[in-house]
This record gives sequence, structure tokens and C-alpha cells, in this order.
Amino acid sequence: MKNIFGQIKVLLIVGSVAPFIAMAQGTDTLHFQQLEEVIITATRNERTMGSLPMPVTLVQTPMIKTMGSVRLNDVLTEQTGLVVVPQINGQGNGIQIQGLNPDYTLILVDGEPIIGRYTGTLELSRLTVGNIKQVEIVKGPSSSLYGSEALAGVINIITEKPSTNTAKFSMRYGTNNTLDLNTTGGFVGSKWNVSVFANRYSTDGYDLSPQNYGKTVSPFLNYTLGSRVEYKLNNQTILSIGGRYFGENQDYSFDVNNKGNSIRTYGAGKITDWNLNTMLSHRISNRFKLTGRFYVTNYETDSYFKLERNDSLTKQDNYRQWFKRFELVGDYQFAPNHITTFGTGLIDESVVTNRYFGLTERTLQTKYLFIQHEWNPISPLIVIGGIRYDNNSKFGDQFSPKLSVQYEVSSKLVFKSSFGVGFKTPDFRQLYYNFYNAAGGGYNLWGSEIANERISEFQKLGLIQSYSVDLSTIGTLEPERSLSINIGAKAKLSSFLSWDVNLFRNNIDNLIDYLPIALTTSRETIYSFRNIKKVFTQGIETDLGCRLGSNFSVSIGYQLLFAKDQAVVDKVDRGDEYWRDPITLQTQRLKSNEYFGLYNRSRHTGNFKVFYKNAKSGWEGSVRVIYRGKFGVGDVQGNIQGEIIPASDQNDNLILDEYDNFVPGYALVNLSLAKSIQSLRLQIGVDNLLDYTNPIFIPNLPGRLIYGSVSFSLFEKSKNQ
Amino acid sequence: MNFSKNAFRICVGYAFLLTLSGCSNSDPSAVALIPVTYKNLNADYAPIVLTPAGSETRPKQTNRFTFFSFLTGTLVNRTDSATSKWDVAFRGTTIIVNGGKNRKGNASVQLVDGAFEDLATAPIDGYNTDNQVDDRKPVPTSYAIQDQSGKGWYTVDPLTRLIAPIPEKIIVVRTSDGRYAKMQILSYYQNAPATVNNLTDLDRYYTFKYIYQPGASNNF
Repeated sequence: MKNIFGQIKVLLIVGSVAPFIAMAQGTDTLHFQQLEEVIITATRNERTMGSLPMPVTLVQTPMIKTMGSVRLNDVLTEQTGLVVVPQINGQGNGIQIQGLNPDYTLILVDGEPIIGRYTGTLELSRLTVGNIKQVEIVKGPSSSLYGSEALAGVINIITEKPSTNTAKFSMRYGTNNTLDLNTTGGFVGSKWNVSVFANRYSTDGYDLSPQNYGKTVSPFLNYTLGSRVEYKLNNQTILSIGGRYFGENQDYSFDVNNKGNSIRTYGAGKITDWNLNTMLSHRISNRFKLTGRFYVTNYETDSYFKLERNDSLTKQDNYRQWFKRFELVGDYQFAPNHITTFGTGLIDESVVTNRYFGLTERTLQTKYLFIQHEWNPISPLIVIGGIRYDNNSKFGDQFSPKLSVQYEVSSKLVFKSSFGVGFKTPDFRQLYYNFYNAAGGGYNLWGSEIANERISEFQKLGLIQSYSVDLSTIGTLEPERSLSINIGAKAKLSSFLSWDVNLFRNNIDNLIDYLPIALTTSRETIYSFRNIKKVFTQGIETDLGCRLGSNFSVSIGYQLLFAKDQAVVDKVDRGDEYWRDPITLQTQRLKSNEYFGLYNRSRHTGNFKVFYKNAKSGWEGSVRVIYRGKFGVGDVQGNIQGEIIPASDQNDNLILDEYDNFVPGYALVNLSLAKSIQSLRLQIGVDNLLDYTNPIFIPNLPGRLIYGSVSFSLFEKSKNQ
Repeated sequence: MNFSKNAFRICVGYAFLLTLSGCSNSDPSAVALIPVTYKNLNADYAPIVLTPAGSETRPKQTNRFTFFSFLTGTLVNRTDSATSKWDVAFRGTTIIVNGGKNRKGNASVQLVDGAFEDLATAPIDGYNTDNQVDDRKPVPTSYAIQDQSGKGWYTVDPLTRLIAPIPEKIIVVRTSDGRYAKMQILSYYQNAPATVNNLTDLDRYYTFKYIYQPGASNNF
């Protein structure tokens, strides 16, 4: 491999938008990375993987195709250090990076955020990977460039830009009557190019507990449509307008299990999500480029539930969210080894929903400024520093600095480190949520902004029996903040063996959690949100990659993770934490090493993958084993199919310790085999070969899925030539 | 009645203990006090009935307390509620103590954190009585043992509504007869199941363990 820093210099001179394909082509690493290994998310500029001091994962389309993935969760779940976890209601798929909850990872498509989170989790399966070029994952806080939510990391889906006229069609059919239809088209003129994309995905869902009425995942159908037009106004100026639409319909039927009584319920849900993205980029000089972007997106859900016996409406829910952003970004090259990127923007967000108190529109405005400087003082050293200032209409000022340094000891060894601050402003739900759960035995959960108003209402009606906290402490939430450090190394152990390691530590202060604030006269607890927790996550992630011959590549990935509540750690260390043996009923003091940590975190996760690709014969295949170690579960909101989900805590201390019940670890084995004959490609595959399921604790994991797919392209010249 | 057998066994055990302590009254600490476990004290159990609206009622609930004396290790008849014959009484998650201005007895109580076995002596002071005026209209915070999740002897799971006794909470009682007792609630469900199923296990059945110091000592 050529010295990556040699490449970097070239890259810095050229600037940003120019094609880098030529640069990375000299690489002889793994097959699936032989295309351009350029990522944009880490610095907001196109940079080669090797020049980035922060932990970055890149998954490109050839790899995604070989894996047979169709939705974003399929792709992410196989990457080292990324764990796909269910949402708080036990269903769906969110992403956990470095042990941090899905709420703390920003998800972008072409640099613009996707909105619409259910209790903080963005549902990954909403995003198809049928039209993408690559998925870029930056781990560690990226608030210095992206602001709120980019606390654990950023995932950016880069869609394909046509380089020639193409039309591609693919169809995949598999278990559960799951059908994925995909077409993409690209048309290229001398001054313009157009891409269009359509995806239809339908499934009958699946049922992991046939003894219960209804399915674990009900049947659904969704469409994704997208298009982008790029027009070159002149040699310096490019205008681009793109849009994306997603619509999904789902029908439900299930039992609501209430203290042994089952109430058959049916319903339907609808999600629509669209965005429009306009971008004008102008090169003022060889050194200076300005890009203006306007982005608007809307997310809506509507659902209802009715009783089967008399069709009476039990629940109706709607949610409308808007996000508008204007942003101006410039990059200026002072010298080939000095590049500054700076930007400013305005964000306007609003939500109207029956979940919040009052049907009034809730809004938040954010203004921000950021600056980043990339400096390459001497050839082996790269320094990237940046800071972002956010001013939020409700939460005031936030400063998020980040500093990353990379040093190349030799062509075989590179050290990387980055240090940064991340933040997440409280979401609308934490501010305005107005939830009453009657079925669960009765409790209220109120957002911090409405809690005082609701309390005084209840007080007037004489419904408050007692307070659990000082009332003056309710009503103000602050952003959650993290301080993180990543230190790693990349080593080329031999011509065919490469090793990557990263040590991380994230400290989050001010973590928002709900706590009881009062008790009603009917003995129902009232909860609200407060900045009460302090947690940390730390660990090691490592990848070992090996190339065997010219057709095989083998990799092993592993993450060791400790994610703990600081207050519990302190309490255990003081000797003030106890547990009761559920059999003998004996109370004992908990030892320091017996506290396991936060729920839903596996100490050990890993993967083992073998890929085969023979460009000449057109055969490709893969065997991937994905392991997730044991983990604990806390309370899960809502019963799935009437099943009671028992919390892990078995010894009444409300924390997860070695004596509790864990969800056992498991391994998924995925296989795929494909053959390309000119522009036709046939693939068969099995996901979860061993048919591992855990209906109660891992409802988002279907059993064995067998599929076959066909794809072909028109006009497109083979990339393997 | 389901507690008579227990009560009998505990009485016998207790008579034996009393005899022992009678022999060595000069040095009560010399006698090893053995913890006694009282099982399935019915604290106004009534089956839950669901209304069509989904809320719960307990129509057969009596709203009456079940009274307990550490001296005898038995339940005390409800007709003796206005006497000093009992020390503590149970109704649902509420535990009251027979002392203070509303009661006839002289008992008081406090919560101490730790492992039951490790608490070798009862504190000399810090005992409280209930401020409750009307037990028919309970105010959870007015009890010496607060009747609230995380504030007294138990926590309530907000979703499953399961009641879990906090492992390290020891209820130390200065009894109506001026002695000390320490008790720990072990379970709130019938037969103290290792894993409580909120659909099948009956609540409001206390299992607790206690040590009563019959002599004039605060050692356990």
C-alpha cells in the first residue's frame, strides 16, 4: 500500500469535490474496499479513511450487496461495536454506539438529519439501502460539527450519484412473504444529472409466540421514493435539488393483557416522512468554496386501536413533526496543509401531537456557528480541531469543541486519538409529554415544561396526596453533555494482515431520566423528567482483517464494553448496595465487581466474517457470524402480544448485578451466495441460519430468513473491467 | 386460617427462647437470639377485580389492619387494637406502629440500612411514631415508615406495579413493652415466590423475619 499521507497531500491540494477515485485505487486491501475509500462525515469534507484521526467505519455497496442487506439495520448489525437494540417498547431497531442509547446517535441521509423518533429511537428499518453508495459511521462525539444528538456518533447514508446513464432493477423475495422491489435510474447530461429511485417493501411480519393472538411484528407495506437533480450552472456553480418520500402502512391485531384478562384489539398505523433538500454550491476561487443548503422535512404518524368485540376506539394517536434548516458552509484553503471549514445555520423544529399536553404547536429554534481547521504540519502528523456554538431558544448556549490528532509512526503503524464534547438538548417528549397509563396500574408521566402546570391543576382538584421532591426543582431541563476520548492504532502486521484497535471512554453528565415527583390521592405515581444521572461507558473495539489469496478475506471484530451508572458505582464502592437472594431471602452486601452495569448493554459483542469474491467467474459469497453477549433488561413499556416481560432484577435492588437474570448471549449465522453473469446477478442467502429466537426479550429478531434475489442493470458498464 | 400453624410454631419457639433468656437475665447478650420468620401475614388481601374500563378495584377489601406483637410473636386480635398489646400492624403496603398521639401503645420505629445479621445493636434514639390522624384517609408521608415507593420499606415498579422490599431496609422497633426488635420484610406475596408473577401471585401477604430482644438490652 502506498503511503496514505502521500495521498492526503494530493487530496488537500485538490480541495474537496473533485473525484478521488484515482487516489485510492492503488490500494490492495480487502476486496470490498477497493473502490474509493473516501468519507465525508468526519470532517464535512471528502477525506480518505486513512487520514482521519477519529474512529470511522465505512460500509460500501459491494459489501452490502454481498451481505444481501435491504434495510439499514441489516447493515449496521454486522459492524463491530454497533449493536442494534429494540426500542423502549421492546420492538423495532435502534442503534447503540459505544454503549450509548439510540437517542444519542444522529442519523443523516446525504448529510441531512432524519427525524421522527419514537421515545428517542430512530427506527433503522425505515431506511432502505437500495439506492446508496455507502454508509459512513463516525464514532465518538461529533457535536463540534453536527450539534445536538451527535453525542455518541453520526451515521450518514450517502446515496448514489449517477456517473453514466443507468437503470437498475432488483427484486428480493424471502421468508414471511417478504418482498423488496427496487429500481434506480441515472441520467447524465453534459450539465446535469438526474437520479430517480423507488423501493417497495412488504412483509407478512412474523409471529414468535403463536400461542398468543396476533403477531410479534404485524404485516406492513412501505414505499420509498427519491430523486435528485444536479445542474451545473457554470464551471463554478452547482445547483442540486433532491427529495425523498417514505410511506408505510401497518395493520395490527393483538391482545392487550391486563392482569390476566385479554382484550382483543385491532388497529392500523400510518407513517409518512418526506424531505426536500436544495443545495447551491459555488467555488469563489481555487481556495474558497461556499455551499448553501436548505432542508425541510416532515414526519407524521397516525394510528388507532379498536376493541374487537364492539369496534369501540380505545386509542388514537397522531404525531406531526417539522424540521427546517438553512445552512451556509464554506471551506477555505490557506495552504495545501491548512484547510478551514466554517458554517452557520438556523434550525426551526416543531411538533404537534396528542401525546403532549394541549394540542398547541411546540417549537424550538437553534442558531449555530462552527469552525474546523485541518492542519498537516509535518507529513506524519494530522491535527483537526473544531468548535461549534449552538444557541437554542430554550436551552441557551452550548459550546462543543473537539480535537483529533493522528501520527504515523511508520507506513505500518498509525496512532489516532480524539477528544471531544458532545451534547443533546432535551427532546420534545421530555419537555411536553403528557402520558397516563391506566392499564399498567396507573401512573402519570409529564414532561418537564408542563409538570408544574399539571401539578397545580391536580393540586386545585385536591388530587395530590404528597410530593416526593422539592417542587422548585421541577421544570427545568438542561442539555445532556458528554466528555469523550478515543485512542487507537491501526497496524499493518504483514502484507495480508491488518489490525485496528480503539479504546474509548464517554462520560455523560446530566443524563435525563424520569423520577417520581408526587403521589395522587388514588395512589398513582406522577413521574417527570430530570437531569439526574451520571453514566459512563468505556471499552475497547478491535478489528483484525486478513486477506487470504486473491479471493478470500476474513475478519474478526470484537468490542468489550463497560457501561455503568456512576452513582451506583459509588454506592457499591461505599458498601451501601445490597441484594436479596430470591431463594433464601437473605440480604447481602454487593461487592464492587458484582455490579454489571446499565441495562441492554452486552459486555462482549463480536463478529467473524468470511467473504469470497471472484471477479472473473462472477461468484461471490459470505459467511458471517454475529455474536451478542448476555445483557440485562429493565422495565419494558407495554406488553408484546400479552407476554409479561420480566425485568432482569431478581433481587430487589433495582440495579443489574451478577445475581440477576440475564438474557443469554447468542450468535447469528448469515450466509449468502451470488453469481453475476454480465449485467444479471442472482443471489440466495440465509439470515439467522440456526433459527435463533427469543420471543420475549428479543422480539426484533425474526427467525431464519431464506431469500433469493435477482438484479440486473441496463446501460451500466461493468465495474469489474 | 392459614397462619395458625405458623403462629403455633412460632409460639413454641418463642416460649423456648423466653425460658432461655429467663435463665440468663443478668447478661442477655450471652444468649444467641435466633431470627424468626413469620410467613404469609394477611394484610387485607382481597382479589383484584377489573372493571370494563380497565381500572382495578378490590371490592372485598376490608380496609382493616392486621396487628402483630413481637413479645408473643403472634397476631393480636382486632378487638385489642385500642390497647398496647400490639407493636406494628399491616394493611396493604402500610405498616403502622402502636405509638404516638393517635394510638394507645408506646411503640416507635425507625429504618436502618444494612444486612439484617450485621445490625448487632438497636440505635438508642431516632425513633418515630405515625403522625397519621385518620387511618381511613391515609397520607403516606405521615407514617413513621413512609408508605411510598423508595421512601419506606419497598419500591413499586411503575410498569408491573410489583412491590419489592428494599433489601437493606431493617425496621427497628422499640416495642410497646419497652424492648427492641428488628425486622425485615422479605416478601409481599403469598409464599414468597422467588420470581413474582403479577398475574398469579397474591399480594398483601407479608413474609418477614425478626429478632425480638426480650431482655433490657438493645443488643440483638
